[in-house]
Amino acid sequence: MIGRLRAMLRHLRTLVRKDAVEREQREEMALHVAMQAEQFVRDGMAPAEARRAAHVAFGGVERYREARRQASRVRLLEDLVADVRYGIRSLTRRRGFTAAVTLTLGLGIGGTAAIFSVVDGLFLRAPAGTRDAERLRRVYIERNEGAVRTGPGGGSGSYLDYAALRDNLRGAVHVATDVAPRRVDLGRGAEAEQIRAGIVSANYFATLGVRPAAGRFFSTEEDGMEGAHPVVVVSHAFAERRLGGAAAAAGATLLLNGRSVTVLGVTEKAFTGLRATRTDAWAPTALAASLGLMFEGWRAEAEMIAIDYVVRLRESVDAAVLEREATGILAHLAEAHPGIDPTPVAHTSGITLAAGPGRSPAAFLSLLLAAVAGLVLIIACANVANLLLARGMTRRRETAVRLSLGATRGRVARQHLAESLVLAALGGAAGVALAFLGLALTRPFPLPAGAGHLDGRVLAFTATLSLATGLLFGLAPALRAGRVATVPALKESRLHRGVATGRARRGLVALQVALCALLLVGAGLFIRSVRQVAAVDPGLDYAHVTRVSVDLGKAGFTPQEREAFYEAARARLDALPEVTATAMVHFHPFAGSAYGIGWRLAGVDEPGFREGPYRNLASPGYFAAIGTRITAGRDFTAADRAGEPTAIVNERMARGLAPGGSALNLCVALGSQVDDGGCTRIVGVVENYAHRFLEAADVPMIFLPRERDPTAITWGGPALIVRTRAPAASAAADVRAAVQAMRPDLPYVLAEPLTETVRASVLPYRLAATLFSIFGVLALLLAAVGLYGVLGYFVAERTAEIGIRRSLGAPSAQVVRLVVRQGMVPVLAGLTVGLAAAWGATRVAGSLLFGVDARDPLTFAGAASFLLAVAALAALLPACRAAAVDPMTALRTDD
Amino acid sequence: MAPRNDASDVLRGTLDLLILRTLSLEPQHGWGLSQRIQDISADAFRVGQGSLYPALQRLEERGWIDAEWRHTDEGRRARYYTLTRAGRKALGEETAAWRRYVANVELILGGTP
Repeated sequence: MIGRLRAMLRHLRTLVRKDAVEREQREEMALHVAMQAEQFVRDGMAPAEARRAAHVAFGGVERYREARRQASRVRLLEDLVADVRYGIRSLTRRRGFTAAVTLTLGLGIGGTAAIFSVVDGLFLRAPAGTRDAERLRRVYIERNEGAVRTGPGGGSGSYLDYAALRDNLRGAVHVATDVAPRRVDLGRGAEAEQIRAGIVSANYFATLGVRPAAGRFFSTEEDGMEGAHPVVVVSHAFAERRLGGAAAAAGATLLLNGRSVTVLGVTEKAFTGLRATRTDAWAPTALAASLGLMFEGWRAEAEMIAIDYVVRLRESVDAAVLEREATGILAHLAEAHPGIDPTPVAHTSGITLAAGPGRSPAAFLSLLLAAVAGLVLIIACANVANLLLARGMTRRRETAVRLSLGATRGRVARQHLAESLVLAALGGAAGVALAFLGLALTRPFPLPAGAGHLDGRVLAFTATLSLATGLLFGLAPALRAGRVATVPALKESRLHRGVATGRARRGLVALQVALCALLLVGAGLFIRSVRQVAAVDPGLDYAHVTRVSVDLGKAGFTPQEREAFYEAARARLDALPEVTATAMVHFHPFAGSAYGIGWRLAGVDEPGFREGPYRNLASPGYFAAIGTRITAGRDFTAADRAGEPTAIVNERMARGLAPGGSALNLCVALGSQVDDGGCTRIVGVVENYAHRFLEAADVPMIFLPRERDPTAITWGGPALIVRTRAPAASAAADVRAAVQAMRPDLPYVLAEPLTETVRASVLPYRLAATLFSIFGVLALLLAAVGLYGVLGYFVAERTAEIGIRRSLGAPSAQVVRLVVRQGMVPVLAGLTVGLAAAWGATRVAGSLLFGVDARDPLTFAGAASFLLAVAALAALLPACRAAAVDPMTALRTDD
Repeated sequence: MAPRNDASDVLRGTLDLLILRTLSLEPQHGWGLSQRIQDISADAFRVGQGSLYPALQRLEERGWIDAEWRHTDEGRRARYYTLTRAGRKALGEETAAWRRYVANVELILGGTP
C-alpha cells in the first residue's frame, strides 16, 4: 500500500519536475559510464580509449533516455501533447470541416450551458448571499384549508404558527418568517415609483447568514409592538439606485405607502431575497399593518395564513427530526384554536429558489428545456460522430500507413481521440460564446434573480460537458481507426468499402431523426398552444386600454377628495387628443379580484353557477371604453345616481335570471335587499367578458352604477379606464405623466396597459413556444445536415458503382431512387421511434399547454410531414448529384 | 549498437527477478547491479544498460524498489536502489513462480525421447 502510494508520488514528481528527473538520469548515466571506463582501465586499456569504449558500451545517450522514457508512464502525457499538436495541425488543414464541427458542437453545448445556468440558479444553488445554506430549510405546513388540503410543497402558516415554532422548536437555531414581497408606493410626485417589499421577522437576516453592507438589521424590539418602530432594511441595488449608495442609505428616510420610515441598514450586494422575484426592501412584521401590507391585528389571527418560514437547523439535527418536532408543536397549537385544522403536518425543503413557495411554471419549464437542450446536444454529437466516421473512412489509408510503419493500434486510436478532444474544446469555446449571446437574447423574458449568469460554475460545467461530448462522439471513430486492417485498407479501391461504418452511420441518422421528431412535436404543441393563447377572445377589445390607479387612501385623501381627484383626472385626460374615452370602474378587467353578491328573484332557483355572481361598480361609458357591447337595454346614465336602484348584468347572469327569456326590466333583490326588502331594476345586458385572462368568460356579473355609491365596495379599486387612439403599450407613459403631474404630492400613479396586465398569464406559453421552436429548428437543421452528409458520402463512395449502373443503361430516376431509398430508410425508422417516444413523453408538458391536447394528432402529423419534407430535400440533393454522374469519369476515378 | 541475440542476454522477464534477488543482498547502484549479476552468474549473464535502467524504473514504479542518492565508498554520488517490503514479498512470489516454471519445463524436456 505504502509502496503504491510512493509510486504514485513518484509519477507525480516525474510529471511535475521533468527537468530535475532528466538531470538525475544524466547523472546516473554519467556514473555508469565512468565506472565502466575504470573497469576497462583496470582491464588494461588506455584511459582515453577506455572512456570512448565505455560510451560505446553504454550505447548512446538518446537510446538510454528513450528506453527509460518508453518504460515510463510519462510517455502517455508526452504522447498526448504530441497527439493534440498533430490534431490541431490536421484540423487547421481542414478548415471547412473544423468550422462545421465547431459550429455544430457550439450550438449543442451553448444551448445546454445557457439552460444549465438557469437550472443551476434555480435548482442547485442556494440563493446568493446566504451562508452555510445546507443547514437552511424552508418549512411548509400541510393542512386542510376549507375544503382543500394544501400539498407538502407550499402550505403557508399563520403568525401564531410562527410564534409557536420560534419559541418551541429545539431542532432549529433560528426560525424566521418570510412573507411574499408586496408592491408598495415609494415617494410622491414625479419621483414616485412602486417597489417590492418583503415582510420578515427580526432574525431573518441572522438566520440566513446575510450581513449588512452598511448600517444594521432589525432588533427583536423593532419587530415587537405594532407600528412602534418605522424602520426598514433595503437591498444593495435599491440603495445604489435611489439613495446614492449603501453608505448614504443607512439612516435615510423613505416614504412608503404614505408612511415615513427610516432605513436601518443595507443588505450585502449578493443578497436579493429568497424568491425568484427581486426584493427591494424588507419591513419587520410589526410594521406590516401600518404600511397597509396586512390588516390591523393580523399577527393574532390564526386563520391569517400568509407566512412562509425558513429555519436554520441545529448541528446534528436532520430535517426529518425537525419535521416531526414541528408537526407536534403545530398540532399542540391547533388544540388551543378550534378554528384551525387539527391535523397539520410540517414538511421541509431545501433553500434553493425552485424549492420556494409558489413554484413558478418557469422552474418546470427550465427543467424541461434542460432535457431538450440535452437532446439537441446528443443530436449534435451524433452529427459530429458521423462526420468523423466519414472522415475516418477517407483516412483509412493514412491510418494503414501509420500502422504498417509501426505505430501501435492503441496509439492510433489515442491520436484520433485527441483530435476529437481538440474539436470538443473548440466546440466548448464556441458554446460559451453562443450561450452568452443566447442569454443576452432572453433578457426580455424576466429570468429569476440569481439565474442565468455565466460564472465559474457554469464554465466548469461547460468544460466538463465538452470533454464528455468529445469522448462521446470521438470514441467510436477512434476505436474503428485502431481496428483498420492494414493490407486490405491499402489495397482497396472505391468499389467496395466500409459496409460496417455505413450501418453505424445510418444508425446515427436514425437516432438524430428520432430525437428531432420528439423535439418538433414538442415545438409544434407549444406553437399551437401559444396560438390558442393569442386567439383567446376574452370578450373585450383591450389593446388600446390603459388602467390608471393611485393609492389615494394611504396618501390621506378622503373618499370625497378621491372622487374629486378622479373627476379632475378624467377631465384632464379627455382633453388629450390621443384619448378617445375615459370611464371609472371598481375592479378593472382581468383583475381576478371579486366581491360576491347575494340575490333573490321570486320563482327563479339558483342556477348552479360555477362561481359568482360578482358585483362591480361602473360609470357610464365603461363598457364602451373597454370594448364590449351592451346587447339589450341601455348603459348607465347620470340619472342612475338616484331614484330607483338600477343594475346592468352580463349575459351569463341574465340567462340565470331569466332562462330562455329576457332579464331586462326584471326587479331583483340584490345584496342587503335580500334581507331588507326592495329590488334593483335590470336596465341593460352586456356581453360576457373573461373575469380572469385565459379563463372562460362565463362568470355571472352584476354591475351597479358607481356614482350612486362609490364606496359600495370597501377594498380594492377603483381604476380609471382610459381608451387611446394608439395601442396602450405606447400611450400608457403619456397617460401616466399627465396624471402624475396633476399634483406634486401624489403617490405613484400606476398606468398599466391591459396587455401588460395579462402578460404574466401569457408569458410561460410564449416562452415555451419560443424556446422550443429555437431548439426544434436547431435539431432539425442538425439532423438535415447529418442526413445530407451521410448521403453525400454514400454517393461519393458509390460513384464507380453508379457509373457502372448508368453505363449498363440504368435511367437517372432509378439512381435517384437508389440514393433516396438509402437515405429514407433510416429516416423513417427514426421517425417511427421518435413519434412513439413523443406519444409517451408529451404528457409531461401537459401543464404548460393551453387549449391543445398533449397528443394532438394534427401536431404529430404536422411535425412528421415537416421532418419528412426536410429529410427528402436533404436526400434529394445528393441523389441529383448521383444522377448527374458521368459513367466514363466515374469508372476512371479510383483513388 | 546492433541488438544481439546472444544467449548471454538475460532472458526477457527474468531480469526483474535477478534485480530483486541481487538487491535483496544489499542496496546497489545501477553499475554495481550489472556487475554483481554478471559476477554471481559467473559471467553467464550480461545485463545491458539498455534493459537494466528501464527495468529499474519499472520496478520503482511498481513500488518494489526504492531509490535514493548516496555516496559510494569512493565518495561518488550514486543512485542506490533498495528492496522495499513489497519488493521482498514480490521476490518470494516470483521466485516460487520461477521454480514452478523451471520444474515444469524440466519435466517436459526430461519427458521427451
